[in-house]
Amino acid sequence: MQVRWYKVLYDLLSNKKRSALVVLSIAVGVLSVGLATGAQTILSRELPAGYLATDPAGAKFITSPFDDDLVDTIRRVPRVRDAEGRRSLFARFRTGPDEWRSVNLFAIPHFDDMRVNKIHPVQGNWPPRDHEILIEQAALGTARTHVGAEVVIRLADGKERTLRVVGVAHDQSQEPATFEGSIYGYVTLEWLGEPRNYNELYITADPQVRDLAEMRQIAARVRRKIEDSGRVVLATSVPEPGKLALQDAVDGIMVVLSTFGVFILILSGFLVVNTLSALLGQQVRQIGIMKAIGGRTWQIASLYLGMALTFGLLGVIVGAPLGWLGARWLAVFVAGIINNDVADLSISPFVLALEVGVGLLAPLLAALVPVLSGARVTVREALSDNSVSRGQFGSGWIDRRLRSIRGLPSTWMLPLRNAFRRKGRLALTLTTLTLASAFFIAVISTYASVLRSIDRGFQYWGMDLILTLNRPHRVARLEQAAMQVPGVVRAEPSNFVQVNRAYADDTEGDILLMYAFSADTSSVKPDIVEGRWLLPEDANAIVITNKFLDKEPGVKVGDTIRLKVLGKEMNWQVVGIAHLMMGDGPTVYVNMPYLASAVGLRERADWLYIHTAQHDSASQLLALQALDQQFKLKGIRITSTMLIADLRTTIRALFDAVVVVLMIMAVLLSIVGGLGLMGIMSLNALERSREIGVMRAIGASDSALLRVILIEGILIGLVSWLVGCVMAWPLSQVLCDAVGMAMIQTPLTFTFSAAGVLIWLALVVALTSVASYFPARNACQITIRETLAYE
Amino acid sequence: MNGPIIELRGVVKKYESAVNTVTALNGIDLRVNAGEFVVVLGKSGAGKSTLVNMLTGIDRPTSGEIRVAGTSVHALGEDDRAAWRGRHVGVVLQFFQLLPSLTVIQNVMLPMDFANRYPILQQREWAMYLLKQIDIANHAHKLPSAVSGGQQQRIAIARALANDPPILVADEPTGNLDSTTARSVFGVFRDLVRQSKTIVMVTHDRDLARQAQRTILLADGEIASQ
Repeated sequence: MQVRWYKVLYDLLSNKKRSALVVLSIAVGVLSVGLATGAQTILSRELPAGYLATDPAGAKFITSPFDDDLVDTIRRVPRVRDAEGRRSLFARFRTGPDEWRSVNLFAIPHFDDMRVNKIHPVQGNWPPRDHEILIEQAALGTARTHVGAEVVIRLADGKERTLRVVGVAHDQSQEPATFEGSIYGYVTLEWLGEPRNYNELYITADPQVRDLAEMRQIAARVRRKIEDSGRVVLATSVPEPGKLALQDAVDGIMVVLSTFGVFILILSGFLVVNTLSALLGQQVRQIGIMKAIGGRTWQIASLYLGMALTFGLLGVIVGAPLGWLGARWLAVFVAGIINNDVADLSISPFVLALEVGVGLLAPLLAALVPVLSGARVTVREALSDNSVSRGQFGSGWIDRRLRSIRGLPSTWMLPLRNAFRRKGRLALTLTTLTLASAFFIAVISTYASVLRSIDRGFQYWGMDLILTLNRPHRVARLEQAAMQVPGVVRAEPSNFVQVNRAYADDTEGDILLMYAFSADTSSVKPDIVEGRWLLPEDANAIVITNKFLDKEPGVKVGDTIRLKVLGKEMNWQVVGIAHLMMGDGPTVYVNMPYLASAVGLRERADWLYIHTAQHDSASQLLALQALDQQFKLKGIRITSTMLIADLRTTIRALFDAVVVVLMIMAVLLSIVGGLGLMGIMSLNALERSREIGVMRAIGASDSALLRVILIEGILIGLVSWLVGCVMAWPLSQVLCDAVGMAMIQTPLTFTFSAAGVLIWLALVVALTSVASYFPARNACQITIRETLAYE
Repeated sequence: MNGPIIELRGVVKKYESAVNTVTALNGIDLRVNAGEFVVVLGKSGAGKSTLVNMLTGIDRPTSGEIRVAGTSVHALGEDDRAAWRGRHVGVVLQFFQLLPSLTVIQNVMLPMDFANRYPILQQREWAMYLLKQIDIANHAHKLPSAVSGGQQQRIAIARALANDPPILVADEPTGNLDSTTARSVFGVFRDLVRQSKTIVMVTHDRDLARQAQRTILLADGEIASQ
């Protein structure tokens, strides 16, 4: 090896702590990039692959009952690859004594010959036999059951059946059970007393069909075939071909994490800049000598760039494997949130190459300016450098402002001025700490915004319970029965149907959720942003929402849209647009009396919104139990229920998971900030060794010196906190928007967290104290003779 | 080579400061022949170090010409001067200036590395030979901090000879040494003259200066006598 490289090696090893800090900082940056990018590549590969392996339906039709003959007919429709019928029904699942939850049961005709929307066994027996049930894996918690347990379900006719849970299945065609606290179960048909026919038809199209418009054409042909057979198509769902429903949400979160990762890497580069700048400053005389004995600028620059590259290489060796492991964990974690599995956790070579590339390139780029600047010093300048300590103070604008400060004791004045002696170095350190401050506060503010958004979102729901009934009942009867239950203060009957938008070319849009309310409803309080809410005299008026516009963009107040409602096409005039924070999909609102009349349900309703006196989960549950008994006596069958308090808990848990991941990145950022400060304080103390020796020679005690260095570090921390607070405001808004758009396709309601500001203040004081203490203590341990001889 | 190995013609060096302009050298004309041992004497501030900087290419003149070992040094850029210096001039400074993180032998090998002269094994052999010449070979693998001041200066001399330059320029090489060690180090320079090296040494020690072949007295940036 050429002898010049021994100098690099010895310089690296001569100050192991400094080198370790820089390497650690780069390692954290490499880890962060690898974590986010690795997880993203795994998920973008595995999620679509896993989804496509289930043969997802290109279209789903909710129909009046049909049989295998129709299925065979549909299979012969051009460009339909396969078709399958299933029976779906809602029932109630006993999760505890007098505690029932909704369960969506699917009766699958041939478990071993599923052709569309395949579900996979996870555990236990397969397929289920009569009196047996499989539970979807994500619903086990909500169902409070396990394989081998006996469960009771109550059907729409009020009959209760006991089944044994014989297995767990994974069904990717349903929205994750954890999102709404749902339960999905898979059973056989006949023994339940249900007719042996189907009410849901699923089709897949030829693999060449990738276009949504083309899929809609095929769906239109199938729909006509169903209608030609005398059945009614109640609703049609045509999702984007081949795309996992939550792919956009996952992609959105991963983009945010990747951005974090890049930021952390850039900030770790700042420590490289500061370290090499300081090193070059300390070695200016050595540079002069090397030039005096024939070293050219590029040769000397290559030494220090080689050092930067070595830092990078060591950082990659430490950080890349951790990033790889972290990526696998993160991929499994995120996939688990959306109830997906990751079959193959292998990391693409591209990610490893990226980690190596950025780990080497970032410190190299960071080092370029200080190295080229330091290596260009002339021999004469280098050899005449004889100052007591480096870092000029006095002439700059900031220095003059600081000098004008009067009345501060010297124990505060000295560290205040010391902090500003190396302005370039201070700027880089402050940038790192300030960004760490801003991001930390932004993540806490995002969490606060999540909570506020959930609160605001739940303001939409004025009711406490939602009951779905087995069939429409007289409105007056429902109100009367409900109001007799203690704790119930209001009961609002309502209707709900799934509808599709009908286009001129006979195709239809995806499923829309039509809620029919009285104009004076207090069960929902949508935020009207344009136009108006429904009026009692409205006929075919419709209020659309932002969720509707996500699916059907371009519709405005005053437009007329054509919707297919229970097989009947109807025109609706848009009178208003509401903004929904939460919600279960593309929602529209219509006048209940008009809808009921239009579909032959005059004065009848099959949904009931219950308002209770108390709004906590326990009170809602008590009210539900009482309603159960009351309705049973009245012969009104409840097929499904929802407690709003439970829904709130479920949604909050979902957001909590996302915020945990964001907090991990914020902590990594804080670590890089802390490492940066520790490195800089060490450098500062080292460079001022002679100055410290002079101070001790004239009587300064160890504790006084310790105080000076500690206060300097804490002052830097406080400045970064202040600036960080200011930066955190816009950053928080950006992060809130990004998280909101990813999770609920709408920005979160922004809340700037004062608690986050105070928490970070405490943390930054602690961080800077620790980062300053050790270098201060080390400086005090050197003898006066050593410090005055320091060169 | 015909003619002087070092020739300065009308060399002027001025330094601008915030207060005034300082003329460190004021029209220096100097010739040194190959194999000469020349001592430059003068009080502090006479311009001795500036003259050394001109001869070695460490600095450029404000005006005038400098030709050393056949090269117009004044016309070279900073980096070219460094490369030229590595091959043609050995520099020995008052404060030894050895790199603290390299061993003794590695310090001697460093100029060869920069000049890309000799394969690594040959560099090591030549460096060890040079250290033996100055009786430092048994300290070859120590760090500079582990040897005495006199030994460090000898090592600096060995380093200056690494690329076998025809010229050695020494700026107060004994200024930091006690008299016994200074005499010993001076003896090394005399040996080098016997080996036909051209040596220009700046010193304030008149006793040592008397041992040189020629003395140039510098005063206020001008040659007072030679």
